[in-house]
Amino acid sequence: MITGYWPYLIHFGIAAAFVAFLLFLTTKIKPANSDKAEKYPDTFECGVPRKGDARGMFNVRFYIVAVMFIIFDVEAVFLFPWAVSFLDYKATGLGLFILAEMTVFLIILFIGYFYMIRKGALQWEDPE
Amino acid sequence: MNIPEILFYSFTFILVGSAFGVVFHRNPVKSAMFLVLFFVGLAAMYALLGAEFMATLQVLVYVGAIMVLFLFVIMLITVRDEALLNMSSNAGRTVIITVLVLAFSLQFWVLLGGFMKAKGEHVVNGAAPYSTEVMNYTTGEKLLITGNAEVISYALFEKYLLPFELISLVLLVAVLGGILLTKHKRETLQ
Amino acid sequence: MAWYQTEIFWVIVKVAVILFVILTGGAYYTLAERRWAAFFQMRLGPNRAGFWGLLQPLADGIKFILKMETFPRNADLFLFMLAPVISTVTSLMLWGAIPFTPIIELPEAAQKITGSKSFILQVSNPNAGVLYMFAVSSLAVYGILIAGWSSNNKYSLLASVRATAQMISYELSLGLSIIPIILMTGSLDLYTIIETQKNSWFLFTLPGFLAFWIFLVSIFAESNRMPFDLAEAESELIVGYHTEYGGFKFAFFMISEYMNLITLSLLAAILFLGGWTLPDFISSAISNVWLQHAAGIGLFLLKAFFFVFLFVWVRWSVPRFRYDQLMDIGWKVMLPASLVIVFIAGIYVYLK
Repeated sequence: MITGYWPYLIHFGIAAAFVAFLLFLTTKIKPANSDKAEKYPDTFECGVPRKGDARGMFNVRFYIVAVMFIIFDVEAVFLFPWAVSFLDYKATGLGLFILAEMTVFLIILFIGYFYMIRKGALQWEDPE
Repeated sequence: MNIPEILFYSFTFILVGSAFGVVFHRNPVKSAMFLVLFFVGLAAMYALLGAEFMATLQVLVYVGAIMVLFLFVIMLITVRDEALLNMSSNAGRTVIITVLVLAFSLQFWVLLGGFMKAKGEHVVNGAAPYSTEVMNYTTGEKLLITGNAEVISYALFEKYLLPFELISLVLLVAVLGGILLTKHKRETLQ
Repeated sequence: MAWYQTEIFWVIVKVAVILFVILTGGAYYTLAERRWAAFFQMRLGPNRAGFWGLLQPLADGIKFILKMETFPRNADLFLFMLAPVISTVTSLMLWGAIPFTPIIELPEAAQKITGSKSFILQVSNPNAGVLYMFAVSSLAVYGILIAGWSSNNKYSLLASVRATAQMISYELSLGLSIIPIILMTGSLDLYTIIETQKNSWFLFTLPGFLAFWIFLVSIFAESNRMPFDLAEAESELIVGYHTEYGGFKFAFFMISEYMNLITLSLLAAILFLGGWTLPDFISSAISNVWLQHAAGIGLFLLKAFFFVFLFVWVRWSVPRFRYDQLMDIGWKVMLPASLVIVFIAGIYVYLK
């Protein structure tokens, strides 16, 4: 059994080569009458002629979701080492201490979470 | 040159190349994609050093979360193609930035060279302060490993317990700050 | 040492074998989805190409390759080509940590040829196997985000931003729902997680049972499947982020979606249903080691097949959520629920 990370380099190489090969194949094989067709058609927006550029302003809520995701992702990341070593700490008698540590950590974050909900940061429909 | 060295230098090549891509590419989305490549390369570097937990977290947090936010912001602030074309890419500025980057990296190289004359031998030979045993199922032997999640947790919950608890406060402040900033934005922009 | 006894050669062989199996599985999953959908709606479904329509995926593949390439007029061509590549490569990298078989002791003759005592169909078993899978699956967001942005279509961009926000929201509860299992195992590598469940699956423990439902809902949302397939809401967004894609570039998105589903089914079977382990009373009843392995692997595939079927079953049974409902479920139900389950799991493990 291999426990290192080097096989993923080979894995990536094979996967990328496979995908590149298929993309190459699609550029080489094409229908005989493809010269007549339009290679660069306009974007399909339900058949209505396109107006302006698609890359406009976006609702700020998506941005809030991304910010909140970072914060809670970092929090989840701290739970992983805690979960891995919890059995060891329990065996050495420190289990309750470590559990209390993580409870404090989680409670402080729950305060932030409730603030977020109360302020309606993730309210997708405007109340008014 | 052995295989780890070859890998190290090829990852370095990717890292430096993608860092230059971030700075010099005119399209902000492509710059962000170069930054993604940079972070993935950094994760590969961590894995090469044996810090596997850091490697996975590098991808999970930086690539999976922070770069998504960056891309959202780039899409949010509406960078149009015309604005991109007006941004000059004159040769003079490119040369100046390149020279500056090279000068700084040379300086760092000299400084670090002074500190690292021992080539890290004391780190390799000295007993690892935190390590853990991991079972290899095929051979049945136990390997001593430094740098996985267990080792990190020993450091986190014993030596750096107070900083760990403070992190939760930092995250709390981040929640409050994020909400306050975007609240302000929402009232004025919409 | 001969060239065929090196580790590198065997890694290449394993990657090639699993890649072939998963790709074929993904291709046939598209057929199965259409056939099962037909059964749910009392139709026949595709049954012309070959017996039972079994050659349909092949016919689809040939047709996709023969299609002409088109690019939207004001698209960013490089990123437009890159997006399906990212999607496919990440879904091909995702199964890198999954152990498909237990460690199989090889007979004498095979030991002499391969130069190793045992064999396991797994690319590598890193210490942070679960985290590796999460890291790779978090990269899958970029395929969708870049596809929508580069094709410069309003509907595509909206769909991709929606899908990205949805995926990152449910990634939180997905990651947190694993933590009870890590607590009970004390390890992050998938082989140990399977071995620990030899006599009782994690589904039958209290925190495992609670976390299972969070995990199940999260993988549906994570793979953009039906109750959560807001990215492809046809009535609102044409077909979503891959509206502008045609030919094999479209096929890349399709097949990566189905390969992701297969990998997530395997992961669910590993994390909660015990993988290929056989309980002691069954393994003691089977005397032959090879039969034991065959039974274990067969059972593993059966468990994964259940989830594969569940994806289709739910798709044709449950209507789609509205987007605000989806985000509310993600942030106001799943996230606090999974945090509470983590806390319950901590107390459970401490008291046990």
